[in-house]
Amino acid sequence: MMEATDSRKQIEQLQGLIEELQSANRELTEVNFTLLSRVREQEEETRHFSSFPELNPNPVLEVALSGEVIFHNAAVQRVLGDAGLDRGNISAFLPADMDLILRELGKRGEETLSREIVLPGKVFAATVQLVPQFSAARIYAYDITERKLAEEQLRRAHDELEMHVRQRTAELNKTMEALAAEQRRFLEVLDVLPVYVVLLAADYHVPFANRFFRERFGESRGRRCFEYLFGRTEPCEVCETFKVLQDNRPREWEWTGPDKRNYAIFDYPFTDTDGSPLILEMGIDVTVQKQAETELVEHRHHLEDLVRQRTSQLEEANEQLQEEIFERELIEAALQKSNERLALLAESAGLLLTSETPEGIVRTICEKVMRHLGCQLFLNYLIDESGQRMRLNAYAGLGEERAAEIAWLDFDLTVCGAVAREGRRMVIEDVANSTDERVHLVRSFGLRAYACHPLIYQGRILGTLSFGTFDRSSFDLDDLELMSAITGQVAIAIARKLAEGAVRRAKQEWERTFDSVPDLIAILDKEHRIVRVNRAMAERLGATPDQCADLNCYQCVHGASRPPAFCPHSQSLADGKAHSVEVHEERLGGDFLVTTTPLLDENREMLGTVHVARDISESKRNEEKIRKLNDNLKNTITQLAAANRELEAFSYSVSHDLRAPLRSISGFSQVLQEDYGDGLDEEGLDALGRIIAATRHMGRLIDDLLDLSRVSRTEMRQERVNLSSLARRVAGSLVDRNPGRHVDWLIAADVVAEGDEYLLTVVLDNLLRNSFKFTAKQPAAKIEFGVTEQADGEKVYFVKDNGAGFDMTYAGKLFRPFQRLHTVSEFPGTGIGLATVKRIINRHGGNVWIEGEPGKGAVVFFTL
Amino acid sequence: MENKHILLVEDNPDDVKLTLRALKKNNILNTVVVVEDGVEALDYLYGTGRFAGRELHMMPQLILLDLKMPKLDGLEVLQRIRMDERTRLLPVVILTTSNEDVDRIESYKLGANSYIRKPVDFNQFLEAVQQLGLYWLVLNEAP
Repeated sequence: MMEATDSRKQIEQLQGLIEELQSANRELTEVNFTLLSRVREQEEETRHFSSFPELNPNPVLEVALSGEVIFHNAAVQRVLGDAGLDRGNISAFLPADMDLILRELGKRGEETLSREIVLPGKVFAATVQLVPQFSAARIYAYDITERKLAEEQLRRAHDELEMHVRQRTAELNKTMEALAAEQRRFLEVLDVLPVYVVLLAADYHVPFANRFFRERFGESRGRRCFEYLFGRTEPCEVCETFKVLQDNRPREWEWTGPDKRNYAIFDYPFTDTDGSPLILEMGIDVTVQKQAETELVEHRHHLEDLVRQRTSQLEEANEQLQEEIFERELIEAALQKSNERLALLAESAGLLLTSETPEGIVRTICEKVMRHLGCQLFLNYLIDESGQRMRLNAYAGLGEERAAEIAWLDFDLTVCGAVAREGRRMVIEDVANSTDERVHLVRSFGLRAYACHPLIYQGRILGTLSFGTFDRSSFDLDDLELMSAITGQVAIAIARKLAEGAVRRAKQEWERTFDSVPDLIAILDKEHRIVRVNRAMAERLGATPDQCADLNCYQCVHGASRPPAFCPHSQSLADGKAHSVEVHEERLGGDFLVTTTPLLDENREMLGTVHVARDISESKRNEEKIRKLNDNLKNTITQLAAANRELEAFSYSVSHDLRAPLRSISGFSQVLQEDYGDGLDEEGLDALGRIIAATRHMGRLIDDLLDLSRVSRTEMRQERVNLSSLARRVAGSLVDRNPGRHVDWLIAADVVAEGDEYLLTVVLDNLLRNSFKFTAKQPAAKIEFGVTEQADGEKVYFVKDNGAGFDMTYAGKLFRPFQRLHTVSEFPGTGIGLATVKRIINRHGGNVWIEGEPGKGAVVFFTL
Repeated sequence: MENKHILLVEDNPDDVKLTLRALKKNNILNTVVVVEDGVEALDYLYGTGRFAGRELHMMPQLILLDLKMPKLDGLEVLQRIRMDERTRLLPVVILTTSNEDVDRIESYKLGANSYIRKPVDFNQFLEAVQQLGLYWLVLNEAP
């Protein structure tokens, strides 16, 4: 409100100023007007005198139609002064349109025209008078310079004043707008406030109320507050508001509005712009807070009631509790004992399960349990590996000597034995009076009560655990329960120990196996690190297995900085398959067959490989030896074959060349015999006859040898040969040549074989001829050709006769050349036939053998 | 010289003698011209060398030809005989010690009329010569 007052004062000041200016303007205009009228008067006077050109103090000029100045008075000269009176200067007095005026002269008649003529520093008003009769124009000029100056000043003052007024008006408008905007903002602020704001006048009228107030209580429309708010005719008795006017001090009070809501009221003295007193009232709706406060008070009262009630109840309960506490103390004592047992069990379970040597700990734990039970003896027996007896594993309450006496127990005749056999606990009470025979040992200790539990784990009886006491003759249920529980724990611990032993043994067995394998085994991880090697591998590397762990395999085995190209481990890592490779490694001293097999975990993820190197140096060397031997053998064979061929060629040419001289010997012996036989005595003839016979025999030998060599040299063809018809043909020719002989021929029909027909003919010819020969002295000669089958299905051909036979001792000799078992005189022959047969059969890949008995005949078997 | 003569080509004098004896023993009385090697045989047949000027219209009725001979062997001689128009149709009997298939087959290929292996036993040889003479000199009609 203070700012509004300031603005108003400013406006008033401005308005005053404007008025001052306007009156000054008016005065100035009046002065000017007076001034002007005076100037005009002077001009009139001047004009009056101008009719006297020469005397005229004002310039007068006359101009001919030609434009020439024909007259000028002294005033002209005065005005022009020093500039001189030449033509050019004088024409400065002529109006600008003088030419036009002169041209119009004739047409217009006598007339005057008004012009202004401006000269440096002067202004003249000129009247141009046309004088037709003289064909000239007269110019009367008088000085209006001063008047012009006054007019100019007046005009300037007026303009300045107007500009001033405009500026001030604009400033004023701006101020007014700012003021109005401020007022609007102020009212808007009041309107959005969540409290009401009203101005109250001393006469109870309401000059201003904000929106909050109007919305709650309506418009006052000129009515007094009590009239339109409460419909009263008098001000309200409770109202505190108007007391502000009495002492001019603010007030705070609470008011209940016509809407029955509670308001916190703040009243301030306020002065209106006109200086009249007003009350500024502000009201805040506190209905909700008020209600909450009321409820709070009610609650407190209610709670206080409740507290009183509970207190009396608690007092009663306290009395009851006192009684119960006493009872509970008794129960707690029992509980304490039970807790101790549980603690004992928990402790023992922990010890047994975490201990590395549960067997050893059994004694410590059982001693504790024993004391807790009020017992003086415990015995722990374990069944030994044989399963036939039990060993005292732990005990307390016995001397060492006594313990040694009962270190081993049979199953019979003792309580523990019975329990171990049957797997059921036995409790012996009142030991002294027991009639059970098995109790004698227990009794001998002087015990009064004895309980023995079997150690059972997963259905398997491991041994027994028993407790005994001298103090009482029975156990209560809790005691037995504790014993049972501790027995269960001990059983688990012992079983664990046994299982660990088994695992350890299995591990040792595996390690022993691993280490005893002569192959070099390494387990490698995916980074080519050695996880583990067996002893054989470690020894080859000149280290212990432990020293090899974590080393890089390629470095420590091959001395390389990365895996070698052939590395089967890398290949296995790449494709997850097993790989083998032969490796020669000097550092390990030999050749190895290396096999890598992927090693997978339970999720089939590869962990690495098992790298097994088998030393194959020896077999490599053997292989090499065999290869060399083979090569040698091949060479030998080649050499032999060459030698054989040479030999064959030699024997052929020898045989061949031998025939010619032999023929000469034979021929000329015959010549001798025929031509000169008469001149020889008997002895000479005999000698000659022997020569002839010998040459004949030698001729046969040579022919047979040639046959034999030809058998080896001729090319062999494989064809289907009917041996039966070959045999018949040979037999036929033998029969033809020896018509005196009678032989029973038994030739099997359709015996067929694969082979060279010519060579097989030679075979049958030799064999049948032999049989024919050796049956010569047999009156019922029988020669048989046939075929049988061996167990393996191979065909065996045979030629059988019932001739002279032979002694089997010499059977091996028969197939060698020149070997004979008979003299030529007994049976003629060269001893080459069977050698030829053997050679042919061998060339066919078959076998030939002979069986015989002197006087009973012979059988030659052959296969092809 | 009779027209029906025999040409014996044989380098071994023993064999020549024995052959002549065998012929005589078998009453084959035809003239026998003996030459000792292949070159001489051709000289005789074509009237060259030692036999220059021989009357060539008198060709032997039978040629007994050994195979293994110095200078020119029997197979070469046979080849020449069969290539020459004048001797192409003459009967040639190979009389040899060789029992080789190669020799025998080659001889027949080259146009030998018979192939006889000389046996060691003289009696057998006599038999062979007898049959030979009977066939080629008596039974066989020349072309």
